Amino acid sequence: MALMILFGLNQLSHAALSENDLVTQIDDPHIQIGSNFFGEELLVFGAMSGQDLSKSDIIIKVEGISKSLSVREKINKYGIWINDTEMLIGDIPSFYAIYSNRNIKRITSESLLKEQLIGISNLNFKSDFDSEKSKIIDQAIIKKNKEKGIFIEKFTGIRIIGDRLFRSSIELPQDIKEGTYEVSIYFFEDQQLVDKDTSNVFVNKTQSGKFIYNQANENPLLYGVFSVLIAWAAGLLVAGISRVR
Amino acid sequence: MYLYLPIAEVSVNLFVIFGMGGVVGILSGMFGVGGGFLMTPLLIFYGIPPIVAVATEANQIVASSISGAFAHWRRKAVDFKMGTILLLGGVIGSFIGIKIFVFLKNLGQIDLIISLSYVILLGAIGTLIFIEGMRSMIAHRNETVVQVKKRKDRTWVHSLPMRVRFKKSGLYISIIPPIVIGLAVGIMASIMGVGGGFIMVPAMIYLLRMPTNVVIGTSLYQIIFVTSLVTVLHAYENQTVDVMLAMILMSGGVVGAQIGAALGHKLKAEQLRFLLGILILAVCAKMLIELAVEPKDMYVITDAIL
Repeated sequence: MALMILFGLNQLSHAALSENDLVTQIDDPHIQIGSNFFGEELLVFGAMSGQDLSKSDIIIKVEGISKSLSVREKINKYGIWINDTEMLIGDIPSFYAIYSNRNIKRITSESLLKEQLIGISNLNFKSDFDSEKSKIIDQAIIKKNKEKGIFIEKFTGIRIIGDRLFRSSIELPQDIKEGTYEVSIYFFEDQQLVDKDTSNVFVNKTQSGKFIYNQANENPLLYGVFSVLIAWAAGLLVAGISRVR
Repeated sequence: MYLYLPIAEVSVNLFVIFGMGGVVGILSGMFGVGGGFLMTPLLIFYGIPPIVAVATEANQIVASSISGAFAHWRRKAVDFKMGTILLLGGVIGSFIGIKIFVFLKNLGQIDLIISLSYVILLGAIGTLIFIEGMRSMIAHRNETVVQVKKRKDRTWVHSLPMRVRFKKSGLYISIIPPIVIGLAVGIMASIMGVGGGFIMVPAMIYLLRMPTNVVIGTSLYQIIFVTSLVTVLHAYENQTVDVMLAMILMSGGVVGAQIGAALGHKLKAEQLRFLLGILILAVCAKMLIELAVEPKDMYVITDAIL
């Protein structure tokens, strides 16, 4: 079940015109995560002016800020599974989605995909240990992020409507992080990249969720005292009720 | 109905969490136990990160122990002097416990230690309750009177220095044992998110020789302040107290405790204890299995702390 907000349609909040007249539109460049957040969809659509899209290919890439991850291998010691020492892997996008109208390998050459960092297998994570091990770990990270819905590859994710308009709805997972996300739209013809358009989407946490998160991290002591006061109030309330009885 | 928890950073089913608070509340109403030692594992099983489960459960226990302590206070069943000495130990223990917690967290082993502590604790308590329940059921069936051992008036505990008179408990003992008991409970509260009543109550009865009528009220009085401190320390050091989760658990717990208290009068005590023992052992077994079975994911991946 996904929640779709579509109030950006008439307010052309972002439109990019390039020399080849690739016009794209993101319906809502400000995504709000409320306390009942259960995933949203980011609607991206566009057209190539005066151009028939039936022979074209489009790839949309959505990328979050890169970060480092701590990875620990599970090892069996005395019959139980414990965490081994920490390995740090860098340059991992906090979110990475590839949406296209067909398999990206058929859209263009591997070298161009690599160059443009298109495709999960073309991401370069940074680690400072031997390649054999890092390959396994990279796969583990990719697998986990795919399960969490923060690494997505959807080769049927773009619909071309009436040979003129393309449209895609990108699924944002429930635990998406706040921040700026870069949306790149690639336009291919005969394996060649003809146009590229990049814009930003801002994800904000709103309502109580954001407030609580911020307070917990910015005023941890006050937050702690406040949490205890709530518990005191609740406890005293119950004590009062049972006394009345 | 799903709700996104801001600190735990997971979406949870509101009714499941409320229900867990309710079920554990029923158990605590029936048995007079705090329930932290069941709630924290349940939260972990449900997918709440263990460090959030521990800190948030400490927060919930504050609420349940306040309402409990008030009931005992009205019956004048609290030894405030003894409670304060226990609390002194508890405060020291909480700070030590948090230091250990942060150290283990930075080592990347805190989840393991939380699980292991629970396996040991639940295994021990479950076995004791189970045996106790069995024994009294057999005794009941054979209609024999369980022999009450005459308790020795003095033990090694009573020969320690720094003695103080505790009027309410009718004791004149050293303050060292209660401080040590409080300290152990404080460490447990910090690392496991429990009140520690199940350790403190037997220790007060068998080690300190306190009269049983003031034991529970006094332990609850200590637990209020220790878990309050533990909550603040976790919030300050780890930012892992999820106040939204705590509030749902509290409301579930309140409803459950009322039902539990009513149910407790209707059912036979020894049968209940027998069931509680089985339940605790089952949770212990699940925790142990999760430690021993080859994990689905061979890599633990978290955000790097730089």
